[in-house]
Amino acid sequence: MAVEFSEEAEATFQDLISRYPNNLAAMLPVLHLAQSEFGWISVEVMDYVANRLDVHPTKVLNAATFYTMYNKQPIGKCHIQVCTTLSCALMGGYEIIDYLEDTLGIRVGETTPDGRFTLSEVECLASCGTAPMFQASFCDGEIEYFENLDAERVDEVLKELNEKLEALPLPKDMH
Amino acid sequence: MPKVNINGTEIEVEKGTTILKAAAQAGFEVPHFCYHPALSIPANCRMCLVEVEGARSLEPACYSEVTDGMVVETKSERVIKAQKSVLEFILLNHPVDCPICDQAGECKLQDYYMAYDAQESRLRAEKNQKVKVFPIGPEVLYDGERCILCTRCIRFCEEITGTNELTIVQRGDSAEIRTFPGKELDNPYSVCTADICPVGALTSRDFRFKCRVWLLQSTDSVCTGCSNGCNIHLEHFRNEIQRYRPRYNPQVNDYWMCDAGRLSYKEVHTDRLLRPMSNGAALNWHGVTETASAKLARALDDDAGSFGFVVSPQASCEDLFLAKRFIEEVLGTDQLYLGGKPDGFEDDFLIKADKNPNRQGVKAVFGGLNDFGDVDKLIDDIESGAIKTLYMMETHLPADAETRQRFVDALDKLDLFVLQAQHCAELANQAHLALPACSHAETEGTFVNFDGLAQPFEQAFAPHGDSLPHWQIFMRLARAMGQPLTYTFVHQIRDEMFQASDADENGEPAEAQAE
Ligand code: SF4
Ligand code: SF4
Ligand code: FES
Ligand code: FES
Repeated sequence: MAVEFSEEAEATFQDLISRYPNNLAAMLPVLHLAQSEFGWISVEVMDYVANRLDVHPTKVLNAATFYTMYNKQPIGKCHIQVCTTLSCALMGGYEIIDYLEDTLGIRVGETTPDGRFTLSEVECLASCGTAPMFQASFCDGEIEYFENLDAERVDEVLKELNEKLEALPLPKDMH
Repeated sequence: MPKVNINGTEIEVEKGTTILKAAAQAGFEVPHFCYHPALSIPANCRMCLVEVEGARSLEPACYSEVTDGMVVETKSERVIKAQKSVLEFILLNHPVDCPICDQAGECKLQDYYMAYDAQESRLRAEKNQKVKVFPIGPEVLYDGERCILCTRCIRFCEEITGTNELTIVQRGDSAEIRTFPGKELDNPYSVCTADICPVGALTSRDFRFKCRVWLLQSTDSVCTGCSNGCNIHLEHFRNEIQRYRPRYNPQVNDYWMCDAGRLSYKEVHTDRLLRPMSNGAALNWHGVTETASAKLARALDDDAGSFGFVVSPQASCEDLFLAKRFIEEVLGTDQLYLGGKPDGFEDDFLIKADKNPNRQGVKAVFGGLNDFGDVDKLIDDIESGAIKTLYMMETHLPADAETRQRFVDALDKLDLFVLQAQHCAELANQAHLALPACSHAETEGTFVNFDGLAQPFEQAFAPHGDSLPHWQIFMRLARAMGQPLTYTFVHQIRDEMFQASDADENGEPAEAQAE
């Protein structure tokens, strides 16, 4: 599939670059936009972004590889990022990870065979008051927090997520 | 102008001078990795930290500008501690594989470790492993473990060549230098990144493992790759050039040179004509001088009007000056032709289309280029019999392959073909007399670059084989033919030549600026 912004994404792109003094400064939001549009940041996508921003491709490579939240490989439709920093660790963040690993049948860093979930362990997400928690990032760019978790709540959340994921494409098929 | 006190030395410097430069003027070295005088200043390595009186923290000397009354310490206890810490940090994951590293001996990390750190590693954990021997470009290899991420190479590609091939990928202790996937570090000046890389992370693929740098002898010379005349360090070991490195000259090439020029040293050691030859048989100089002078004298007696001479813009001014005297006083011919390499690639930075180092020198010595015939005329004149004796300096002709072949075919028509050249180039075995000339590495002389700048080059080692400088060959023949040209040293020719050229206002050779 050709790498090109949809009409809607194009409008967002135009709006984004109008907000920054120069195109280089718009790099990070544009990469996020590209990731939600194309599922993941492939070399092709970096090239496209460079082209659209009129910067050299190495600038995009530099930014995209510096930040771990840009996926340089296709991952699952939903990226579950469990916090294990202090508050969450004390309140059972590691147990949440264990439970997710058992339920999803994968280890941290892996993706379920059906391509729905990728599991990661991350540092503080500034939701310490409602620990333990995880963030779910969807391949369409949406982000959602799930807080005050325990095994029961995780089951509910996974059910919710599974329903939501029906409608989403696999990132690897998005371009 | 601000006055600063550096380690107790008062000096006055221009406004806007950085502490690092001011310290250098006061005679103090401030160690630095990322700072390079020709590039922007990112102040990322922190090797140059110095103590400024009244400032809360140490300041990067490469970036901070002096102010009036500033008191700077570059060797205080705090500074020494910072230098040790920075080096310990840089060396944390460094493989210290100096014994197999080409940079060893000219490595800033090695030097600074000895000068400013010299303590045992406290790291007991395993070091990070990164990419080794990564072919980042056709001429350059990258070693991720040795890289200190100073970004000099990146800035070179951004600010000097404008080609932007390089960047840092990943971050923290995973960070490495890379090109965009599918691209290479392949700009025409790529090996300059290996020059400015302060460590052995970028190395020249040509020079790799060829010679330990402390064995090299260095001679100030000039690149002969094109008419830009980039100043070089000609570095050699046992009579063989191992590499060229750019020599700073702000009037010509700054700190840089092109890759093609850098590799052009190979010509000095390829296809050399090493012995005087007569009809394919090797002679000594004594024998060949006698034969040549006799044959030339006979040719002059027979038909002095049918004498042609090919002058080469590859030769130095001194060689050309004697060529001119030989032509005028001994041969008495005015059928001159201009040899030299054909035009090639050029850009708007250093590389010039004229691939000959000394066309301006020919112009200066011969008073213009109007009297020279081109290759077509040369071939026509041989074919028509207007020329029966041809004396040719060097083997190059500004012609395509087809025209060159026509020239080679036409040579059969000559009564006498004398070749005086560095290379055989298939012409030597057609020459009745082949006289071996030495390269610019084996003699001294002057080239005038495209801009009219006369630049001296020094002799690096003794002539290969039996070869001699062109000017000495002309002297031998002239003496044998009863009209001696008497010089002993190159500088005698140089003095006379510059007088001559000043007098007729042709070239205006300026002395090359010292480094
Ligand atoms: S490769 Fe050399 S010049 Fe480039 S960042 Fe690494 S150490 Fe610096
Ligand atoms: S630009 Fe010309 S003179 Fe300079 S290094 Fe290249 S070939 Fe040699
Ligand atoms: S510690 Fe988990 S969100 Fe802050
Ligand atoms: S030389 Fe000053 S910070 Fe690198």
